[in-house]
Amino acid sequence: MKLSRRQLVSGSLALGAASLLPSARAEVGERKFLFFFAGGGWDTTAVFDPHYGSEDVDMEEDSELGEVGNLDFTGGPNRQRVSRFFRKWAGKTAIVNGMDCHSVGHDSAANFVMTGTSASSYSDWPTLIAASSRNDYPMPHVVFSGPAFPGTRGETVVRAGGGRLISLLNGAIVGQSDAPAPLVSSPADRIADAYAYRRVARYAEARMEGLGGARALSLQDNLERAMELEGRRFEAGLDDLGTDMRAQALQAIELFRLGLSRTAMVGISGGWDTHANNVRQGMQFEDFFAVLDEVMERLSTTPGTYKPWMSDEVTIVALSEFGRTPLLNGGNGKDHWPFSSALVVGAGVAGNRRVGATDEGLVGIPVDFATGLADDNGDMLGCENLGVTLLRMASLDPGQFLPGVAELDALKASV
Amino acid sequence: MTTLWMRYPSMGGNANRHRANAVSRLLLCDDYLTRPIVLNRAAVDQLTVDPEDAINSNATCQSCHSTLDPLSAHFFGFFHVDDEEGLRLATTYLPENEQDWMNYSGREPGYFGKPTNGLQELGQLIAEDPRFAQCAVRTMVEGITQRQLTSEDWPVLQEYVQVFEDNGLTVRPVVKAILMSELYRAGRITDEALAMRVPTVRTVSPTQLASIIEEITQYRWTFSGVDGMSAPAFGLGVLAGGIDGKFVTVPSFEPGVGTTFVQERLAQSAAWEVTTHDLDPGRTEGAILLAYVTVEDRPETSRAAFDQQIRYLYERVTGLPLGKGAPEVDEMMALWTEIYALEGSVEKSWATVLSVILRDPHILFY
Repeated sequence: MKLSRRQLVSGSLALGAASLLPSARAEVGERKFLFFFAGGGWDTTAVFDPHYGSEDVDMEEDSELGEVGNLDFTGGPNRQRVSRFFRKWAGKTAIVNGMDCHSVGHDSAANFVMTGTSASSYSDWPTLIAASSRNDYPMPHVVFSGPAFPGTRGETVVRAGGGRLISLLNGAIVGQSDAPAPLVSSPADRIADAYAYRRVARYAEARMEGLGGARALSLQDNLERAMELEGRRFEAGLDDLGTDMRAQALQAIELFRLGLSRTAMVGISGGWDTHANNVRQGMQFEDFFAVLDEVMERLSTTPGTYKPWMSDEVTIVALSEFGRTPLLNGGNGKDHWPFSSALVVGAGVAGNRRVGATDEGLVGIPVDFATGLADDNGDMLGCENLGVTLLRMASLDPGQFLPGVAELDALKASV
Repeated sequence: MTTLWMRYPSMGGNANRHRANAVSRLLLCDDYLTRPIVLNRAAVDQLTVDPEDAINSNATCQSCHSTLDPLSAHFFGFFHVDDEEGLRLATTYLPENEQDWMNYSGREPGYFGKPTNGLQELGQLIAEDPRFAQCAVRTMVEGITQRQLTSEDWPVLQEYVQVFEDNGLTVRPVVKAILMSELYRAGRITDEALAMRVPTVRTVSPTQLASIIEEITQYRWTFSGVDGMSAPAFGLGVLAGGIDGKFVTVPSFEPGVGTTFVQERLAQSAAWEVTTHDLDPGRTEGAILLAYVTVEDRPETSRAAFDQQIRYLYERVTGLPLGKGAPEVDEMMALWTEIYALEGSVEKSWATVLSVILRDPHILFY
């Protein structure tokens, strides 16, 4: 018999053993998603979309074309880590090029890229995926850093960045206020939680119908999640969520492994809005790909929860709100450009594949969504097409969220 | 006032268009960015070569920019170019810059085809636009009832719009009408479909939660003088379902895991303050909440005092008196005893009891 979270919590309260919980959810496998976001707008020509030989695109000096399998990228002596990543993981990696982000304003473009719309009421891709899970996750979508557009599903998103969540979770925050208070011992805290829970459960039981009932039940559910997190914070290493991209990404994997989260967002370190000194992009990509390599190593050597390895369960998606202009400006920088690239790696991805393309002026061109190849009779590729594809890879029906938007079949491993 | 324009910066080549769209979205509920525009290849090429020329001549671009750009032209008094005085200029209205639209978009101020003469006239035209009343009332209804309106709500919405217009576009009569409506006051809704659209409980915002706790306990959660529950940068508000105005612009009305943590820790902090104040034998002023017990009382020797105290706490916190045989009295006494057995502290025992009561769902929902 499969126990529900509520049955387990009720049992664990009686037994004083919240650690019974995790076994409830390992039975049904769900693909997890780790999102990376380069805030500021990355230069797609610095790695993903090389244009050597075009007079309309300024490529970085001392760089050269790198090729592994069907993937080509900006390589050379200043792209050692990038090259190493593609050599090791090209078979699991797809590059999406020529993706229209529909805006060159930071806020609105980030909104477009993460939600497929400009409307603030829409949830972003990781939130939709986490909110639609069959299983219960205490922190369905955990945001370490980078953007979060929860839309109307704010209860799904937990912001772990800045240490605030941790100080709430371990109670340290009550000692940090201007009128610090002592914490009671863990056993006393659990007893208090149990009393608080009973009161909430009674409240929810009395209001079972409609939207009001749903809110009351949500409180009960989330109190259960909070209690579980408190009980498992040491196991999950939640006392140290890390402040850098690498630590956060590795922590995200651990949260996936423990069944605490289904999706996570990590901001890619660096200043990507390079209106001047665009050469910084290359160094930042190097740092990012070093982390990405380590993440893939970790995923490939960590046993999965329903497949042999975590790398079979986790999809990595790296995005930026837009790209940068093909030509350098007077300050050796590049300005905002609506066409961007994305990197999609891991579970469910048709690896060793480049999807979409730009012309000699770095403008997106029509694509056959089935093959991913440029095709005059194809369609323009937008960020919403990538988004609905990710939803499908998460076993959701994208039509429920963005009806009528075509999926990028070429990106899916089954094609 | 200028903070609004700092929230929607719109510098350089964008020529205040971000600000204009903010005005359209906030006051007319018309977001240009939601329009289904598909740029053809010719438009993309034209934009690449000369964006302003494309905006002014391409038909696809003009479908938005013909009205957006004249609206944008009103806001150049808030426009500035970054320099050493950036902060002062960003927060100051500069009338000498009002004509700068000539140097940027080249489109003179206007409101959907009608030329205007400055911000005051723009304000009047917006107020006269039927979309404004519809948008304002819809915003009020959705905010107060904590739900998104659907087409089925159209008749009710029009009733409130009428109230708004009959009262010279003042907010108070509309708010009163919403609050006095049967749907808002309903404790239960038997119609299943309606119950799925209209919540019978509404969730407090983080700032409301802080105010409620303060009203009950006189405690405000501050950190180095900063109000933890209302300062966006502190992060507690977003964790508790609030907004930060940048990435999180829609509040969450379903309490998340962050909400429960925030409520728990705020309750613990406030409860400790109240307890140490009220149980201080040297206290000279009145008790905040613990008026019926002293530091010497124990459940086994002062049962009546405990009973009275716990009932008072529940009524004060939830606004609802406990029934005669309510289990909460015995439960809280049992909790007190358990905590005392573990911690050996009367203060910690009462603080824990009070914190649990402050975590009651009636605090979070109304």
